[in-house]
Amino acid sequence: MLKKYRMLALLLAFSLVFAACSTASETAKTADTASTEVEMPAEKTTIVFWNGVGAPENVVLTELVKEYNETNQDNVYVEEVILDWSTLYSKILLDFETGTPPDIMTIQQSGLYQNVDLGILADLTNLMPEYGFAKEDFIESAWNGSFIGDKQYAVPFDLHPLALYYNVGLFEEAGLDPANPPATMEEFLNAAQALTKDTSGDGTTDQYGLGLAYSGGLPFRLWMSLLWQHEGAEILNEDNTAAAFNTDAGLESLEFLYDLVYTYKVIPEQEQSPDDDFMKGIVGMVISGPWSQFDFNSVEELEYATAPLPVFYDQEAAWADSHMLALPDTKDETRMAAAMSFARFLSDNSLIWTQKAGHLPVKLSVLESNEFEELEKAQAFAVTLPNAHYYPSIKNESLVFGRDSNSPFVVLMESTLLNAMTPQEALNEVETMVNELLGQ
Amino acid sequence: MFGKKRMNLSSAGWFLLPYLLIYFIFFFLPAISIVPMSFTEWSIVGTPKFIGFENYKNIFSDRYFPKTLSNTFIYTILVTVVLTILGLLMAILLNRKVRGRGVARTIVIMPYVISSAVAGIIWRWMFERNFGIINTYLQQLGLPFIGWLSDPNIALYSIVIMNIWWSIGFNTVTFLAAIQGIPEELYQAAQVDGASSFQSFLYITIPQLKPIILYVTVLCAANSFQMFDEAYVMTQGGPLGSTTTLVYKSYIEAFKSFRLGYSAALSVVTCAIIIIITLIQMKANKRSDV
Amino acid sequence: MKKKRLSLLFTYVLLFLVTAYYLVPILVMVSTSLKPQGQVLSRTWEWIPRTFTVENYQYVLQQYPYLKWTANSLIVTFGTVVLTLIVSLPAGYAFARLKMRGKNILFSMVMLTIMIPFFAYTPQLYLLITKMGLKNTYWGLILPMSTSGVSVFLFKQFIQQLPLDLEEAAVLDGCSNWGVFLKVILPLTKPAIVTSVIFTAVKSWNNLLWPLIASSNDAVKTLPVGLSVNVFQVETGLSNQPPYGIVMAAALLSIILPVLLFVFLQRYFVQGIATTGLK
Repeated sequence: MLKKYRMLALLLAFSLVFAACSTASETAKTADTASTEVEMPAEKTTIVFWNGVGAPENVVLTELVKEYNETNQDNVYVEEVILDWSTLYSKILLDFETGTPPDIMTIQQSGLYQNVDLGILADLTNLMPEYGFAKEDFIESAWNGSFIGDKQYAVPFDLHPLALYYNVGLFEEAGLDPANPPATMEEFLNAAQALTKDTSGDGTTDQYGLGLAYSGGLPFRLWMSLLWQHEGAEILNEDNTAAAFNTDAGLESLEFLYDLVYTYKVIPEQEQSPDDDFMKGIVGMVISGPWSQFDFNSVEELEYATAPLPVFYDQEAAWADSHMLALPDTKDETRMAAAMSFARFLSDNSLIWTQKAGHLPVKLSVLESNEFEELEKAQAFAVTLPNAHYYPSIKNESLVFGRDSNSPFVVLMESTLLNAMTPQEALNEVETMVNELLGQ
Repeated sequence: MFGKKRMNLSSAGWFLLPYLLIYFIFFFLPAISIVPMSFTEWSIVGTPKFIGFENYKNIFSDRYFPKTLSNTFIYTILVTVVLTILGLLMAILLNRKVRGRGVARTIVIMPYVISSAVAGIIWRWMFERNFGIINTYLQQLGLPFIGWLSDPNIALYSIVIMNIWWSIGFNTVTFLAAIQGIPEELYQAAQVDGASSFQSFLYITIPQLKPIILYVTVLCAANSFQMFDEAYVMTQGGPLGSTTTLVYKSYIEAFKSFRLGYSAALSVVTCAIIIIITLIQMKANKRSDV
Repeated sequence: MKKKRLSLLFTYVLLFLVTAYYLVPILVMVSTSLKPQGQVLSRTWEWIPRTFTVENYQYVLQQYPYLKWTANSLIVTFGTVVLTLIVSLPAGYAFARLKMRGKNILFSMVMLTIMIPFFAYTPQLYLLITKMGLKNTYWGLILPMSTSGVSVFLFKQFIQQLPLDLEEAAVLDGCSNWGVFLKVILPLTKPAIVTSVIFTAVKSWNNLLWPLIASSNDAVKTLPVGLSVNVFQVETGLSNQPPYGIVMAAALLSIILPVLLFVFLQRYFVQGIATTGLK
């Protein structure tokens, strides 16, 4: 028995020593904010970059970071930290509070207002021209989206609107022309109904026209897109203090989606994973952003194409969000300059981001380039760009436009698509919720 | 007959000191701060703003609160009862001297070794209404689809099913360990007296295991009252709020809505209820000693 | 005799059914991990992959510093387990045998660790750790995770039910408190120690929330963090579906070690009986 204790004691001692040694070296390393791999000369400015775009696109940014570190003439070294959005948005607050924020980070346009309001981000209005960023070079909506009031807080990097994906093989089987995807309400219904059939002959439908989940972010973003397709329709009123969506336009859009499930029956009931279903060939169309291309491309048997979101009502419109680069307000001029140089590099290389990650570029020069024109599937999204709508910029963005079951617009879609409330009831309920939240 | 061994204070101090030290610094100080924080409004950055009982008022006047509360209670009661009984039975089963019991034990505990996130993903996929594996087999048998995670009336119970699969390992292992501690002589004496195995179970096993049964039920209840992971991975609190628990709501409020004061108030309420539940269990346990 | 054989048969049947129920999802995992991504999502579920492939495993191992993450997880888990045992065993003993005013209050405070959701105090803990300079260090991961009262509670309950005779005998022999603890109590609590090791190890191994916040730095990144952030976004409700094949492969790779630990330790449950040494 004593022997066993000796073993235990030894293990204990060993582990403590080991942990202590590793800790010592780790703290030393993190104190230097230096990487474990590369040695760099002392004069280089080291900045920390938070890559929050998430898997699987994050690898593309990582490659760009590496390239920058190896080739840049600005004497800058970028230390990359990979996070997911959720952690990024919480950690930025925590780290800002303790005085250790990163120097530059990815941010979504939808998250901009909240962070600016909390004082986290640095005002870049004067820095932007210094580093060659000018309004004329960018898509208007993206450029404007980086402003809160008349101050600019981020470098627009990409835009990702919603578009229509459709299965070429299934189109052909259904007698539809893949070169002429649906562009109007009528064509869309037509296609959806042609694609909905009983392929196994057992009396149940096993192929559907469209895939749409009942919860999460996408359903309500689609509904908003439909809303915006009505002339003059808005989500919130002019100064963003009250809901403005409980109108005929809002109702019509919501009822349409309801009908797709329960009247026309072209969407499977209680669908959870439309992207998966699209990849399996169970639904013929799906509406999503450029990010889905990654997964769709990995399925060899799937032959698909993209088209702009059909114009169901008066005008073109589609929901979009953007990735941008923002600088936490560290007030350290040297590091901010270094961060801007890095941002400049990323912006110059945004074509690579588009080619490999699929998100749309926001720089006109890239959109007009030959290389971009070659990206077949991206064209549908590009067409949508001028009509891309962001969420209204509000302080409580994460509260009002949140994606979990308690968030107002998720309640809206869940209640409707799960047939728990009529569309009008749902709109009334959610209008109250949103007004309450805006009032806080 | 000696009573409990008397340990003088100083030596007790040495036994308790190491634990209490790290407990105090890394748990107590941060944790106790949620009480004052529950009376404020705070978004992590800047100073908290004092708002009195506003958060608590909002909690109880929130229209979804009764549902959230009932979800949490239903889930807790179901899981605790089932897991305790099942865990004990499994431990007994796996204690029998049969061949292959080592393999069986490993298989039963394997789910617990998987993280809740991965377990959630597996079950989420198996539960998928239109094309998941369970419904596919049901369909082949000619039965209708069940909206395991998409039907507001069923979703919570589906999570119970998943949780039973996932966490029974904990209870089983604990009971197994405890059973090992029961002296063999007691059973032998009982056999000599002509007791059946069921009687042995009732009059030896259970009384001997009392402290451990309390341990298991207290932990089970406390853990399941704090259910979060499964709701986060499988249903995001839905559909229609049917799987939102107190802790899930509290998490969303803290890390998605950045209303830490409100979240803290929810945590305080949650904690208070758990304390009450635990006290009730401990009282009941003491009573049955008589 | 017949009765005995029937009961044995019954036991076997039951065992079989139970293990089957537990195996199904695991088999789902294994099967999925061996399918190429395109086949994972086929219309009909196939138990045996049409094409066996190890590309998912290759992807996970090659694309990411998988071994480094595993090593970090090992260090943190080992440290947490050892520290937990060191502090919880004496504490459990004290609570089991102690006679002192305020003991119940103290113990209830310990129980608080089970009753407060961890993330309720995560921001404050994070701020504290950062101020102490422990952010992005191993100790920053180990120390907060060793405060759980679960093991203390377990040891208290376990020791409480041990018969007092041995301790009394030892005291009569002139043993000090520590002597009693080391020579008498520890050997008897082996099953509880094993149990505690398993749970602490598993919990620490799978811990996601705290390492995610407290150490996103590559140097100390643990396995679950690396997987959930770099490999697949577990954050659901988005349009990004996790690539199931890779997810399952990653998951399987990550449970090998804990499972081995359990396989190794579970035989102690049998030895336990022999050491209740009332003889």
